[in-house]
Amino acid sequence: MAAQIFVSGLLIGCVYALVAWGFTIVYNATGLINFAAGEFVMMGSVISAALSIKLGWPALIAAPVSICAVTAIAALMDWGCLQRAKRQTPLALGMLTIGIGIVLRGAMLFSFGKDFQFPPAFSDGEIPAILGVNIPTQGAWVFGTVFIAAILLWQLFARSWLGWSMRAAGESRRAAVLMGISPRNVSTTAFAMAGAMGALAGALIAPLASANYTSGLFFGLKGFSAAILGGIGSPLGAVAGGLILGVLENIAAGYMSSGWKDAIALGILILVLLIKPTGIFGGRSVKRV
Amino acid sequence: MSELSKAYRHNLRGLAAASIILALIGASTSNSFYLTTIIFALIEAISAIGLTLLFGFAGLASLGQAAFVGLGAYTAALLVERCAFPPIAGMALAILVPTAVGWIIGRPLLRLSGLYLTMASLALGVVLSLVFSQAISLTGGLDPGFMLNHAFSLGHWTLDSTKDMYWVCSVCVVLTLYLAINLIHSRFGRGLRALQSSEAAAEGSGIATVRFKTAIFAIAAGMAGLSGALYAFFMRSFNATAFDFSLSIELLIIVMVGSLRSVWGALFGAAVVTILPAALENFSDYKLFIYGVVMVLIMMFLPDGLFHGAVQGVSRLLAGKDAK
Repeated sequence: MAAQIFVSGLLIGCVYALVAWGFTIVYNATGLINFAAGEFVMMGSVISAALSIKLGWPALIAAPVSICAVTAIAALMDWGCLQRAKRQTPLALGMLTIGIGIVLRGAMLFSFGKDFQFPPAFSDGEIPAILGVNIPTQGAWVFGTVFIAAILLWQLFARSWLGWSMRAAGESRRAAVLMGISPRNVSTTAFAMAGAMGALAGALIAPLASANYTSGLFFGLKGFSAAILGGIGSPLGAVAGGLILGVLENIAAGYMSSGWKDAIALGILILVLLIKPTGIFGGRSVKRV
Repeated sequence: MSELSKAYRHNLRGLAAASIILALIGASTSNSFYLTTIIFALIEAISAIGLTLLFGFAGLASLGQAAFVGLGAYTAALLVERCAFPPIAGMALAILVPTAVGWIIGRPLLRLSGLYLTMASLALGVVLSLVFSQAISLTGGLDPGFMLNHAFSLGHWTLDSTKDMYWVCSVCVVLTLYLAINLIHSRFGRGLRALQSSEAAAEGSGIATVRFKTAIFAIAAGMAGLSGALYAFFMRSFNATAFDFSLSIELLIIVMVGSLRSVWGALFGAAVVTILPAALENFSDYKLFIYGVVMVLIMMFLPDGLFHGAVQGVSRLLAGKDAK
């Protein structure tokens, strides 16, 4: 029982971790909080579900197509909307992402309808229980894909020119410009990556949790909480925060009551903020004058 | 006359004009659908005025205002229904309880920088809205919700029709605006604006930043509580979904769309946010999309909100006439 709860917690935690990482990438590259991050997850799940149910595409084609579509939408959102806003302060842009979130929700509503969609799992078959723990087939896909994605992203950030320029632009916009980095391109790339990761999370979780145009708020909230829990700005913290949040929630739901599970998870978040505001893995916050 | 006292006079004149407009609307509108829409706008405007002070003037973005609205609504409803308080006393406590809670919670949280306050208020909002929906013995939760059998009354004077509630809400809006205008034009209000532009500089000039921030957080919570109490007395039957996260977002959008720099924006914003969806009813599935696009366009191109856009437009027109 305990092991089963833990593993199911890790499963949903993987999804939260992807969303939180997307948050972190955008925050590090541009310094703004992207409140539309949950909508990326929602679009990933709704588009892939519609492709596989309405058009009958196999899930392994529908998922990548939906990821590409959401990546393009996310990049367009930054390039066409955020960068063209009259006031370029993090607060104003953050609020703008809330508005864009509504637009995206509305777009999904009239393109794919109000109904909850239940797409099939990526593959059939059953995984035998290991040590009394049952993992749904889709769960294995989630673990495997998130693990590979995490390694790839980690390499991209630590080793590639793209990762360096993103961190540089986040550190100091002006210094980055002097080094020949375009902060605008970096910001669009960051949004595209956040879109891809959100959509990946959405496509993976849709067969387990169903897809609907209203689910974005829920995922955004969870991803945001996970990012804060781990310490905003730290990719490792985002992943850890996501996993911890998922496990805590499942423990709360399993041993107490499912109605209260979010309250317990977020109550812990408030405690963390009060005790160590920079999150579990966050560095010291520097006060700039 | 100094610039500051001139601005104060302008605001008071605006308040007089707003009272007259509200009175004219009340005297001329009898269609109960229109009245209901306007009442919702007024109720939201009261929370939004508090949020304008908090977000626009002190630069603290709160994503948990709905929690205080709910707290006010349930405080008023429970006191009147279960403890047989007179409605006006219930309403007074519906202001005091959120103010006190805001103060107690704000005190430790506001030591953190702005971003962390946003996160903490978000978490607080979600936790409280869950409490509202789960503590069924007190709140009725999501189903069946809360039934308030007593109408709003002042002494023996029962105010239960839609028209009566319109007058009650209008009076509350005018009083809230009057309080907000006086706050802005006090030492306290100037201190808030100073700490928004630079907290370190404000602290350097002798402003107790944490105390100021806690005070404005508590005041905004109290205004949210008042709007919650009005909501409870107007609806009489409501459930916890009314105070969930989407209300917090809606309030922030009202402030963004209305104005970040003037309490008058809250009225404009609340009018747009409540009337626009009603006007878009015919577009069915496209409603949400069009609503979002309008909000995004306003935020992109009128960063100071509709109110300032309108003021600038009018002053440009006047300046154009002068040039001729």
